[in-house]
Amino acid sequence: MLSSFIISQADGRPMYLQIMEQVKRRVAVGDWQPGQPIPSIRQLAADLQVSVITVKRAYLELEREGIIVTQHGKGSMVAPGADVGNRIREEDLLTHLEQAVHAAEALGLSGEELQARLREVAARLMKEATR
Amino acid sequence: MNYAMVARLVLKDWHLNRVTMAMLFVGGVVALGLIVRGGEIAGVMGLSFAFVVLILAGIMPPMWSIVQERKNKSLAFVMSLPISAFEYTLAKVVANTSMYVVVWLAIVASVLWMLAAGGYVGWVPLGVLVSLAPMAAFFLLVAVSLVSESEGWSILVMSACNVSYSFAWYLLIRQPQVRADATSGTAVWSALIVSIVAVELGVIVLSLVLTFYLQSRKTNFV
Amino acid sequence: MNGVAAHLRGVGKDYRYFSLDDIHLDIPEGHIVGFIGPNGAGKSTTIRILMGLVHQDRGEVSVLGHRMPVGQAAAKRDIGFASEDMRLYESETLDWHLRFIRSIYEAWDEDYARTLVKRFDLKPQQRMKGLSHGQRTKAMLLLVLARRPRLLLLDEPTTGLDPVARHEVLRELTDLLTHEGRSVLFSSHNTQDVEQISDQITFIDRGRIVESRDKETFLERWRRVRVEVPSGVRLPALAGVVELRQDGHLAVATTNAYAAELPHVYEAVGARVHSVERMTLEEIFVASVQHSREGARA
Repeated sequence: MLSSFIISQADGRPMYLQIMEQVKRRVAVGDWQPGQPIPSIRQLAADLQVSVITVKRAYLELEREGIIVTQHGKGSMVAPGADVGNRIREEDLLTHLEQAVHAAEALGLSGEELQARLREVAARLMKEATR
Repeated sequence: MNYAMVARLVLKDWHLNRVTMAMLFVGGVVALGLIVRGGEIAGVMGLSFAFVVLILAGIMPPMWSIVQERKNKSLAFVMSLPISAFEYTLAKVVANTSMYVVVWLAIVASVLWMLAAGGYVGWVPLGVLVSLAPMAAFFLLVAVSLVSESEGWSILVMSACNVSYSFAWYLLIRQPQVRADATSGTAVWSALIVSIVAVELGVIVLSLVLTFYLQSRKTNFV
Repeated sequence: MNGVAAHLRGVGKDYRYFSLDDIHLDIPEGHIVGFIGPNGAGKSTTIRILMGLVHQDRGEVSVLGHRMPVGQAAAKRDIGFASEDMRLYESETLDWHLRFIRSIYEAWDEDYARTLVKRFDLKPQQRMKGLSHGQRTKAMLLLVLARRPRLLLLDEPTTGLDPVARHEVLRELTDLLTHEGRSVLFSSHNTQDVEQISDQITFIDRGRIVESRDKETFLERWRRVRVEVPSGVRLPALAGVVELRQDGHLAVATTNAYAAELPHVYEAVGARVHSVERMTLEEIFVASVQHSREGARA
């Protein structure tokens, strides 16, 4: 289950963020189901060979974002509720949209021009997906 | 006091020095064999060889188990074990002493017995005096190597002792009284011999006392 | 469970050419403490004081509830110590050493020892004399790891190891912590290893502790801010900015007290902030030590 967790110091982003992202990804694709227990902080730290404090921080942030829940003495699990995976994807989309807006501003495009571009791309790519 | 740990350390040093002990054993057998063989030349050769074995037995174990262990950085390994500095010192003293005394007793007892049985009983007091000299040198070397932590000082003390034997022997045997007593046919414990033996025993006791005292004052053990 | 495995309070030791002074250090139970310092800074001396092998001239040392150096024999039953300048007996085999250690410590885990022999790719019948430096280091670590001691004190455990061996060692160290009540203190030049597995990090330089915090705080508080400074604008000196280097119109500020307001302070005087960068532990260490040395000189 954890063989695909890879944390790299070369990544440039802090380790706790990498851990958070990999947890979110698994929840988003449904490999980790809502309510499913996840490794304890100590166990994940040992499996990844990172410090306990880093995993602790990742779990705290994930809990703050509502992705996981930690019960004292019982360990941690993916937050129950069917919409967790969806919420992550929604956040993902929002981030990309915001990036698109910044990129558009850099090019000097207006809001309407950006929307036109988006409609173009959606028509092209989504049509391919339904072929 | 963890006697079990001290015992383990002593056995460990015996094990590590097994080759040395084997060589000394062989040397001792050869020396005694020469004496037993009979004849003056073989006898003198055998006695000299026995003396050399006594000297080596007093040098090799301390140099290996104390000086080399520290030099090869294995002292840190030993001190990482659950022992106090005192237990380390005790283990070293017991290990080295037992290794030395085994060789010393075997050789000295055999030689003295052969002297007495062979009609040279007048030489026994001298024999005791001569045998105690390398033993005193041994305890001195153990003290110096443990306390000084210096290979240089250890070699210096060892060399000084070695060099002094011939000279001391020469001085002794020039005394007409000593020669007369030795060839007298009975064991004569003259005042000279007794006082020299007392000095040798004194060196042994003082070395042991100083070893434990000075080791206990150290604040940097490794 | 969350006690302190060991602590040093106000510890000092004087040598002829070097002094360790005012050392305060905690090893919290269940944590890994990384100890970084230049050569000769006092890491080895500090670790030996924790082992009771060096007697401190002042200050209090307590390890696993024992006062050091008096309690060293008892404390060492539960401490595993391995040092870069320590050697096993050249004439003996790894197997001899395994049996020797096993006969001394009750907590020896034979199965784990055999697993480690395989994992570290060692041959028990081989004499220590024939081993490479990396193999010797792994052999020493194996002897302490197989006991799963309550406290591991390691002086440069990964120095001289190839990347695969280092990875294996780090794996065993982090694995040790999954057992109750285990703690580790390790000193290292390898800031990457320290950054990866340490919970707490302590910097030492010239016999004094320079900084000591938990790792995430270190990484959060230190930043490098790249700023474009138009002509006529002067960047203000700010508390927490330990270094400010300006070359023409470009400046780099290194701070150890980063807060989100910092870029705004610069922008308020008319400068443009290009980027705010995180720093690696190595960069933090170098900056911290340089800052401390300047402070000492002033």
